[in-house]
Amino acid sequence: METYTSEMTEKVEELDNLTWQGIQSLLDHYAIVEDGDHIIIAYTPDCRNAAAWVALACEERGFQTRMLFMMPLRDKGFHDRLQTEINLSKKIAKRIMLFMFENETMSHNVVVKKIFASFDSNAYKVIRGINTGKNLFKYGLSEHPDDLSALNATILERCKTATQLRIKTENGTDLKVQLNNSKFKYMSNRGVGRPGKFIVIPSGEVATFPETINGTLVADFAINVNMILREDVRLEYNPVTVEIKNGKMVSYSCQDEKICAFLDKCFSIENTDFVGELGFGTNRGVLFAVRENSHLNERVPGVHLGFGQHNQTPEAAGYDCDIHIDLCAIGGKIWFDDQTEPLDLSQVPYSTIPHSELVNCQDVFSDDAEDDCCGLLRD
Amino acid sequence: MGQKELKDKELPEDIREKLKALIAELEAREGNEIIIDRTGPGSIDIRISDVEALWYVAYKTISQ
Repeated sequence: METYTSEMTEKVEELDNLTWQGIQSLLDHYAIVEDGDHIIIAYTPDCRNAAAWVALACEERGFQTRMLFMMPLRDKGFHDRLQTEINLSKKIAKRIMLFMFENETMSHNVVVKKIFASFDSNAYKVIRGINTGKNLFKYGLSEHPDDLSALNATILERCKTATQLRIKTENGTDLKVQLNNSKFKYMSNRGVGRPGKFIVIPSGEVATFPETINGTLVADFAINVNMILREDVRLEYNPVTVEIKNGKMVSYSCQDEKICAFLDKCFSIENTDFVGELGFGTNRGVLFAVRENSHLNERVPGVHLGFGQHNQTPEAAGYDCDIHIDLCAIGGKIWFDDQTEPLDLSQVPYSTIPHSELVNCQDVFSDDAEDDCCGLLRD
Repeated sequence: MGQKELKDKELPEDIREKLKALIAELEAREGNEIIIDRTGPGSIDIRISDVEALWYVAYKTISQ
């Protein structure tokens, strides 16, 4: 056994009115709490404050709320503690609402799945938050799932009927992408619950795997990576420029020495040079990049590429990798095949066609282990 | 218990007092649920196998 000292302390953040409104949005639009729900909130120590905010918001509405502590990643007693709570709740609840709040991890996925395996899929709902804190509630939940669905649906409709994309941003991104929609599946994270599936927040992204991709990415918004990264991840003043040839990174540069050093380490790991994900953020609540390594940053309306770990099966993608490095650019336009009118990612229109139920409604952090491209849910 | 109508959903005035009490209660309860090594103010040791958790495997890899 080895011991790592992590900064797993709770952030001392003040609860303000906008954050409170975001928590109300979580309850009203994502959880859609109803009379008869029994609410359990599981949290890691770094999210104790945020979990307490949600608990008090629930109690203000008259819900009895149970709080359950968990250690991130490894907690041998968590199964029994959660099982005890679930057993108590199912006797009296119409529906069990389980919130799981963590900061840098998503833990105990298999435990939760096992415990709910015997349940009717309408008798429970699980909402998992990563990077839980003020920014998640304040900005990440201001966009409603119905709106995210309509935005994601627009992108999906356009992509799924195309084979070639050209993607450009104001700061110099210029990518040529070939899609293979019969081979590679799409992910759509939109905050909408489906029976038996988890909701992952923050939401607002469409992603797939490019058959081929060539060109230049100028990531001028942020980095998001599935590793511990304490540096300032914002790239507004120090964008990362990546040259891509035949689906692989061939060179990169950044004026920030710390970011460059971090990328040097990342890209020295086998298979991290593959473009494993072509993603489009759709959450208009994300107005600016947050300093910390956070999924909020890749939800910004714009384009991002995930290097290394992919969102497909290893057979489909042709390689495997544990590390996932998202490099995000804000805004941009997509040209589909020979159409002259691009889709402006900062002004995506709402689709009038319902979002397809056939598309995986999670994202790269799907609750299905085989879809867990970033590896956070492996247990 | 029924869900109350909260039309304005403004931050309740007494929320800070309630928060303080709840957080103190949670901290006390956590100590009974699991043994946590607190190595100092704000830091916690997480004991895991170096091959069990990708997160820390990745962290270790990148730290070398």
